[in-house]
Amino acid sequence: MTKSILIADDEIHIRRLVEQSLEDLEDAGVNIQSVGDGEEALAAIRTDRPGLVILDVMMPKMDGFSVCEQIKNDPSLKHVHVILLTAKGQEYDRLRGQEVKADTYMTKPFDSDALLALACDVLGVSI
Amino acid sequence: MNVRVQSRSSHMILLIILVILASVGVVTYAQMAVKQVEEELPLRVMREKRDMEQIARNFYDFLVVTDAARVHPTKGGAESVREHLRVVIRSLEHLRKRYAFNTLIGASALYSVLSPTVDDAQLWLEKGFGDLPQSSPIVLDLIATRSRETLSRVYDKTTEADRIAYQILERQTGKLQGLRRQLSISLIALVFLAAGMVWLAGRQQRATARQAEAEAAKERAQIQLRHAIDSISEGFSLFDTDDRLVVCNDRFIEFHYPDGVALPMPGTPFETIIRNSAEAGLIEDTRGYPSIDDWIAARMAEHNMPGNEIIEHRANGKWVRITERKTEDGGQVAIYSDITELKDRERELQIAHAAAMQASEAKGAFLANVSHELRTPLTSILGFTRMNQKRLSERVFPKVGSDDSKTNRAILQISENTEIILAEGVRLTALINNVLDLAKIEAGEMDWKIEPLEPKDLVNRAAVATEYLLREKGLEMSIDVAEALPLVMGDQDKVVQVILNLISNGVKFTERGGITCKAELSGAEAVNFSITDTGCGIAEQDMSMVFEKFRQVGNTLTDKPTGTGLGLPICKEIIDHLGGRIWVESKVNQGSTFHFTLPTAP
Repeated sequence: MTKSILIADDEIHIRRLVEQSLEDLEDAGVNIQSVGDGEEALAAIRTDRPGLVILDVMMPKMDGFSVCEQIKNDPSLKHVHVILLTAKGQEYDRLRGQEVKADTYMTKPFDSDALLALACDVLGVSI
Repeated sequence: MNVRVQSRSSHMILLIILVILASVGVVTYAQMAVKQVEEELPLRVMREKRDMEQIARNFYDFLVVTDAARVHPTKGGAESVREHLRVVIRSLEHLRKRYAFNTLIGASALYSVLSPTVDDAQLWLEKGFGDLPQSSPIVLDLIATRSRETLSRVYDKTTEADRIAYQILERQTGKLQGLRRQLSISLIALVFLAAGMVWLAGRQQRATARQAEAEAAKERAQIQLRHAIDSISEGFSLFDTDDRLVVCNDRFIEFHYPDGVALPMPGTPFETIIRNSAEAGLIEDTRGYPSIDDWIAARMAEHNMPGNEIIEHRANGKWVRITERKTEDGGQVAIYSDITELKDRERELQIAHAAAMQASEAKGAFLANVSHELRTPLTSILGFTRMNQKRLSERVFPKVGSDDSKTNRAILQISENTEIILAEGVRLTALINNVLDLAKIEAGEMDWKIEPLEPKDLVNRAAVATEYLLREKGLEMSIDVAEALPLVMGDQDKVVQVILNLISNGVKFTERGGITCKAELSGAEAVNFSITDTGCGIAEQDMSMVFEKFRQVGNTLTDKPTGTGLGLPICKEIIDHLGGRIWVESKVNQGSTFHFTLPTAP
């Protein structure tokens, strides 16, 4: 696992927000990448093998659940930490998240400080 | 025709014949007996007796005359003797003719006694006796002597005849008496016979009457049954063990013979009836089979193993439910119900249901969409405001000089403004969450995961999540959960949400003191949770409004609205759904206790 983060969300503002939240990690040498749909996300994950992936659930082409499922079923990608970030807070969404074996389920609006803390934890970097 | 009635009437005929024969026999016997008696009638006896006595008298007269002539012989005397003898001879001849072969009392014997003497007398009178001429008085002597002797014998015979006549008459009387007795007996026997006949006739009549009554009763019962069957609103048919029609009502006939022209007669086999319907094209279902015979085979298979109901689609668009049941004696009853209306309603219901499902799905999708749509811009607003706050306070403000009071004031304002924006944003998020939750609960869209839960665990989770709230205000939290409480049924997230809500409410209205969370048994079937605060309490007039939507307790103009007014209503919805109760006790300026119960797990 590389010390890199992949952000996948179709909303440009959310991408920007997450990037800004995790900005300090870039100074610590973590590479942050953003994509706008599920297919791109999957390709990027396969190529770059980031240590942390933040997936929005509602994305075109392939949703977050499916991407997560793909990642977790791939033995070489199993250890990627997946955070599902979503405006959907319903129980069955949470259950679905559990089904696809997401590591963290975060609802929007999210706490950016908490996200930063988690990222540091996962990548083993301190700010 | 009743066999017993038949044999009874033949008994009757037999009896009548018997009686007639008996009567005829009796009458014939009586006639014969009477005839017999007539033949031995006293008349004959008396006649014979009279004749015998007559001849005896004649002979006596002859003797007297002969005696007289002997004593006083005259010409005239001799003539008189001859005359009298002629009379006797005539009488004797008469006697002979009459009684030679059918003497009753001895006339023929008398004849035998008289005849030689008379013959001799005649001979002697004509020819004389030996040397003596007929005019000789000696002859008369002889005749007289002879006659005297004969007369004695004649009297013997007549006496004997009397005796015999008496005997005969005695016998006759006896016979008549006997006959009378026999006739009496026969009469009595006939009377008994007649009585017997009458009795039997009576019995027969009663039996016939009972028979008729039974027949009438049976008839009435049949008619009653018939009426009952005909009045059933459904088609009814009964088939016997040979699968032949016993009885059916008009409605059944309508189903199979709608034009009413052909009618099924009792005894028609079931298969014939359904074949008739199938071939007349009445049954739509036959279209699903290669041939009518195939449909009939399938139908007969079901008919022979009745149990489930059969739904038939008819060519006239009607739907029929046929239930067939076997009866105790091996027959079969079929009930035909027209369920066309039912089917139509069923279809309407299906359509409505599908529409409702669609609408519900649409609503569910809408709610999910709304949730998503509202949260996304909110995420940007809150997120970037926070980001700005961080960047300003960490990287900009430190660099800005602190000599200019206006700048400092601006920095302070910016910081405080940002705090306000964030706080309001958080409040907006909570409001959106509450609105969406309430909408979901009301739409039945809320997902409920109901399972047995540990009361202590629930309280602890809520306490942990609200710890910082109490700390901020310097309030104490105390937890008092009874030992060994049973598990309760509920949705963990939502129950924790309720406790959390109640705690944070308590904190909101409390300035000093603390919050106490208690859980204890309430009866055998529920656990009572209570959250007590030492805050300002709720006024009496506001108590009823506490759980109402969109109501804030207190003056909304002077008091800062710090809630959405949705928290408590949502708690109520949740507790109500889980089968519990929620209520509040409060005293102004002393504090409030919110209670809710949850049912124990079975």
